Amino acid sequence: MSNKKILIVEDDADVRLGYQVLLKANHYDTFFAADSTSAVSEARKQQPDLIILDLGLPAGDGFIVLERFRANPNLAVIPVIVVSARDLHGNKERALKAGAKAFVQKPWNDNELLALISEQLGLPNIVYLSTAKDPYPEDT
Amino acid sequence: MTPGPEIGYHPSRVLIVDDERHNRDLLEVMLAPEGLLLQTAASGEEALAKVAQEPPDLILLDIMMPGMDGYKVATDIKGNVATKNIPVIVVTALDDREARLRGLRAGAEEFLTKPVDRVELCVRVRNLLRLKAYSDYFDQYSQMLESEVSSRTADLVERTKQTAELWLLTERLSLATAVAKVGVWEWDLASNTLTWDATMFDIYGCTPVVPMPYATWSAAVYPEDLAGVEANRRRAIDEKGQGSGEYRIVMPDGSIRNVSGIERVVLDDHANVSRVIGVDMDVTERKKAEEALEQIRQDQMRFKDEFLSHVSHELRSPLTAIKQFTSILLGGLAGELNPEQREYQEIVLRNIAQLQSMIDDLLEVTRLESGKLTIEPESVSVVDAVTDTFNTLLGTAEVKGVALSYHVPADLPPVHADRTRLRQILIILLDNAIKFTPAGGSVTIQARPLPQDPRFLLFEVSDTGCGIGPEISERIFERLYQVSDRIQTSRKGLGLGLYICKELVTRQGGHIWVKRRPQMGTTFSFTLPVVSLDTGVAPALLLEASITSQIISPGVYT
Repeated sequence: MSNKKILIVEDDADVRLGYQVLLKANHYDTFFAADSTSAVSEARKQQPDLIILDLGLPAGDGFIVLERFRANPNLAVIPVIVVSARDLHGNKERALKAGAKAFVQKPWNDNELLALISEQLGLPNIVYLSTAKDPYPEDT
Repeated sequence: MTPGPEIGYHPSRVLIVDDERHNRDLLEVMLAPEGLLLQTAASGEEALAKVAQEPPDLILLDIMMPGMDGYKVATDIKGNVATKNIPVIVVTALDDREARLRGLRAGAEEFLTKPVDRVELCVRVRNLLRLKAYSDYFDQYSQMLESEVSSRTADLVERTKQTAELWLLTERLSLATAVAKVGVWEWDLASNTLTWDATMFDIYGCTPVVPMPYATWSAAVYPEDLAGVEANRRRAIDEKGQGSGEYRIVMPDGSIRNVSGIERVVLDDHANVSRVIGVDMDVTERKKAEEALEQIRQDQMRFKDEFLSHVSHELRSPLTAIKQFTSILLGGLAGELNPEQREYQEIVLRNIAQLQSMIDDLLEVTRLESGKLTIEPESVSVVDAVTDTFNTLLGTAEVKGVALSYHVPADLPPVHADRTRLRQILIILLDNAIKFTPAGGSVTIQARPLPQDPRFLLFEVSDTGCGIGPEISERIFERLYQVSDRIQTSRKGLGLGLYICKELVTRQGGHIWVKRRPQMGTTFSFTLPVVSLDTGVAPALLLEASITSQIISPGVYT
């Protein structure tokens, strides 16, 4: 079985690299977009199985990207997880209304994010390669 | 004109002094028809004694007497202030010119020669008595006048003093009103006219008119404000009291100014309102300044909120990358770490978590203060809320070596609360309790009906923390409050957690407090209304009073 494809829309290069290392280790193929315009074109080109979307983006924020995905029947079916530094209050509700499947607050807990991804992809609970033990798990 | 004293009609008293009884009797007989009160004395000494005892209106005095003679008696009487006005008639022998002169020199008014002529005696006695009566009358009258004059003078002095004080007061008042630009006015209801001082005309920008029709004023008031001002005034008149208010006026040039006024009714002798007096002040500049200040304050608040929100958000981005790569290293995704490297990376991760929770608190407080925090109460199962929190923090407690337990009766009614907020409160309290309880200790969550008021549920988070300082303080619920933490210095916070708790509890109609049972650790308690109380604001409880003495500061609760 081939690896699932994940498109990561994130303007911060460091964070993009972090995603790449974590997701590659968990056997996902990763693609990247650093702004809202290329987010839509990359999604069209790659037809990913899941999209991780930041909200604060150059050339229009993540909500505009969500709208464009929803307007395109091919893209509307792809599950989107919004991962943002913006406040949970208000933004989570707004993102879910705009079609996102989940809202994750930055900085996230790796185990939770990986669980969420596999859940959205309909995959069994995998054994995480990340074994970081978080002594103070945050509430979500 | 002061009325004079009443003239008495009592009979005049005449004292006859003679050592010879015959002479005394003779004079008595002669004077009998005059209707006088006659008394006699047989010696000079007796005469003086009687005069001292009861002063007569006239004395008939014989000169040649054994013992004290008539000269001596006359000299004594005329030398005494109390008796000097008593007329004295000396009775002497016809040819004794020397004796008569001596008697007159001693002070006697008249003399009679022996043998005494009856008619002459009566005429002289009558004349002298009349003179004496007049003299007495004028004495009394002048005494009355004197006392009248002195009392009126005192009055006048007092009134002059008061007038001077009043004048000074008026001067000061008019100085004060002029400097403060306070206009003074008076409205006479009967004539429906106004009397204004100069400042009033200044404020309204019009030329002085005296007296001014009431309508001139009402025409100057901003039309929309007139009804309100007049309603206030009518109320003041009806209540015979006072009123105040602010309103706008239209100046002759069409510009609008703000006026603040205070007025008070004046009652006439029949306790009816006859006048209204008041002061007006131009508050346009003050109002402008207040509005500008309020605008600045709001701008600053908004800036602060936006700034905090922006900063917190921006802080999360680099923190995200830090956490990502720390997790990557710890997860062995960049090669296996040796135990020492792992330990250090775990320290980094722990501090990331701390920083993360501080940013969350900062944002939460920003929300609380900018009014953006919404509370959406609903019926919430206490068991669910408690077990949920319990499960969330079970891992933390295990790592710390602290036993965690909860106790919620099965039949406990639901609370009327915001589900997310209740969870947030419980997590902050539980996290704090675990943080301050050393390994081997225990932390318990309990929920039960509030014994004092069953309309509320009581939540208690108790710990066996020895890491809690004994400082007594109610300030631990204050924003940014921190006390020195002697036991555990590795975890500092912003000191916002308990403030957030208190705000969240209070906004849901409950109370929060802390108590310390000696040797038994600390208990944080809070109340929330049960669902059946869903009638808006829950009644305030004053439970703190009973436990204030037990409130303590448990160290750095974040």
